[in-house]
Amino acid sequence: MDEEGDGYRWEGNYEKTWELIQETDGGLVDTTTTNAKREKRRLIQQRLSNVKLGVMRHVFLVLDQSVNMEDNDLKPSRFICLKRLSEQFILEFYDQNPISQIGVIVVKNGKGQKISELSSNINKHIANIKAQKACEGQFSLYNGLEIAFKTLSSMPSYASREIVIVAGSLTSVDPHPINDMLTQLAESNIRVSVIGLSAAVQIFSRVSAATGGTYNVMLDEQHLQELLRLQCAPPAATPTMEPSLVKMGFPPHVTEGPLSLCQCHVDDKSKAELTTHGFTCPTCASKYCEVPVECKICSLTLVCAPHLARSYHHLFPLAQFTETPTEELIDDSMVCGGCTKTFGNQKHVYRCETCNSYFCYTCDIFVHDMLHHCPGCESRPR
Amino acid sequence: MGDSVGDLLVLVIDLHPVWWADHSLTGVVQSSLVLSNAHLLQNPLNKLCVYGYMNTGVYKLYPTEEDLVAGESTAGKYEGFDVVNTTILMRLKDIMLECRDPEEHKQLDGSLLSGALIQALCHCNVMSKNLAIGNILNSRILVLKGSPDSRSQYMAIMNSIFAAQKNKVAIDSCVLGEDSTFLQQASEITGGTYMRVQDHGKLAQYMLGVFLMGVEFRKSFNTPPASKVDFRAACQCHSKMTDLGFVCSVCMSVYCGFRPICMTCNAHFKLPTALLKGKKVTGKRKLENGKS
Ligand SMILES: [Zn+2]
Ligand SMILES: [Zn+2]
Ligand SMILES: [Zn+2]
Ligand SMILES: [Zn+2]
Ligand SMILES: [Zn+2]
Repeated sequence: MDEEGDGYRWEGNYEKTWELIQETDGGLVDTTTTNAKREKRRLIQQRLSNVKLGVMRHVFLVLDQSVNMEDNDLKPSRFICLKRLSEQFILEFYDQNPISQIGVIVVKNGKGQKISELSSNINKHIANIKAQKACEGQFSLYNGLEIAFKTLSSMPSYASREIVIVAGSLTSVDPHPINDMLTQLAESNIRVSVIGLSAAVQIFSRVSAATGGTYNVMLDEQHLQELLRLQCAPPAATPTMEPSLVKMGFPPHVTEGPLSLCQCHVDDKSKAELTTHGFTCPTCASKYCEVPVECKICSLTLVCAPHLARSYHHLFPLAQFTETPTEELIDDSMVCGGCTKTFGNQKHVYRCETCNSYFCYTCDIFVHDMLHHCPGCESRPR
Repeated sequence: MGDSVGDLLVLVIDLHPVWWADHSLTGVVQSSLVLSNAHLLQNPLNKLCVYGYMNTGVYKLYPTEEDLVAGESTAGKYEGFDVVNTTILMRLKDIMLECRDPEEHKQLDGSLLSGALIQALCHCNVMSKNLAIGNILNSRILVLKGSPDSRSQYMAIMNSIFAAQKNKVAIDSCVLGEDSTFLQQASEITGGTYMRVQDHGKLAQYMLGVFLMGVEFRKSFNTPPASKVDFRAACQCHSKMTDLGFVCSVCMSVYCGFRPICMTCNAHFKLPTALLKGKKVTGKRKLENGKS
């Protein structure tokens, strides 16, 4: 499915949604539109297989806050809807890229404003986005990019530098020719991806093409959510990204220590509390309630081993299973290698090429979206 | 909130033959049956699923495909206990009869906990997908583990833990042998309870006292305090736990010291970033940290 060729809802083909309805084993009706999801995943994986990824990322989220965001084609209004989806995006992003950093910029009145500094503090980002109220003035692509550029260009070169713009405007009020900015961005290896809310705009597609990003125009709210989710998967590494050994601390979790203040709430008088638990920086012994965090005192990145493990499924993805018509199965009593149920009246089964186990539709989706390991392969003696 | 559809309890029992050669499996099986019956007794809608796993494979002990077809209506009724108990015991016997040669088992790596967790999660997922819209099935997994962790399953187990967390499936752990870092992390991350039982004779009491309760009820009782979880990383180079390490920016491998080439992905590194950054990180601070 080519995103650009998709067109608008009303231009699209008549969708026979009822044909997607499948009867599951429980006799219940499952209105799955996940066939498309499976296809999409296959495409993403094709693109990413055998490609080195940039799993450490610095990403600026640039949100359009011009008057164009007051339209109510998204409910209740574009901006309110976008605020909600951005929150989801940030949560999903940190879930998949826990040792990456996000910053947030809003553009209104033709000016960009950094509302959340590049960091891994999820709650702060979400609070800062929530605090944004009125949409004013015009959108400025140049100004938004410039602010993100200034910060990103000074970030270490082993990490992937990205800007994700969500724009509802069809115009941009720029103080300087955008081409200068494009050269600078390309030179600093900053990838700009744009998600449009209304119609395709030539300048946006040029910016993303010139910097190696993606450009998509959303169809509806669900599609917008999907487009944001796609940005959560780490992109391919650029050739100029230099591999590097990054010094990190794995702080021990103290549960019953002496009462002490944590560094994360120390600035906020109302929330600063003496606690007995937290993570202590291995070099300077300052305490934090949550990791990952960059130590404020010695600037060491503090993480836990599970945080690193969350990136593994991007680095070592599970190969796609082969779709086979159920009739071709020789043995009628064959069961799904995941849920051990018989295939019943399902039209297709899915086979793992490594262990030759067969899986039902539900398990195929679950295994690839969630588990990232084949139940058959993992249950074989080694 | 939809209608109550009961809780799903998935029991995952370690059957590693070499480990059990020195311990009594009977007590553990009996305790598991007690817990299974008590779980089904609590609510006629409660559901049960039992897996056994060892180094040769993962086996579903209950329900088997025939039980599902024939027993759907009797499951949970009192006469159903007999079916549950006999099915589990019969399947166990079959599996035990298959593994006669201890030498063969010593050749293999540890018990396949990763496979068992993955299958258990697939089961939870399918069960929750078959519900009417609006109904929520509370699922939890209880792992009964004897044999030690095997390092080669680390990645699969971590990914299953994250999948469980996302699907709101709590992983309870009842460890009978040495402490398991895998299960400590699993219970901590998914909000389950981790417990190490040294006196196997009291297992049934522990099971009924701690693991029979749904996770949300445990908050109101004095259940065992959360154990200390070691979230430190083991380095690739010496498999040593480290609290200060170097992480490869390409493949996330952890090393305890600087090295020019990554062992996993062959990336060639520049100088450590801490030095390039030029911030006040000096060797001096290491002195304060006498713990490692
Ligand atoms: Zn520090
Ligand atoms: Zn299945
Ligand atoms: Zn397989
Ligand atoms: Zn080492
Ligand atoms: Zn590496």
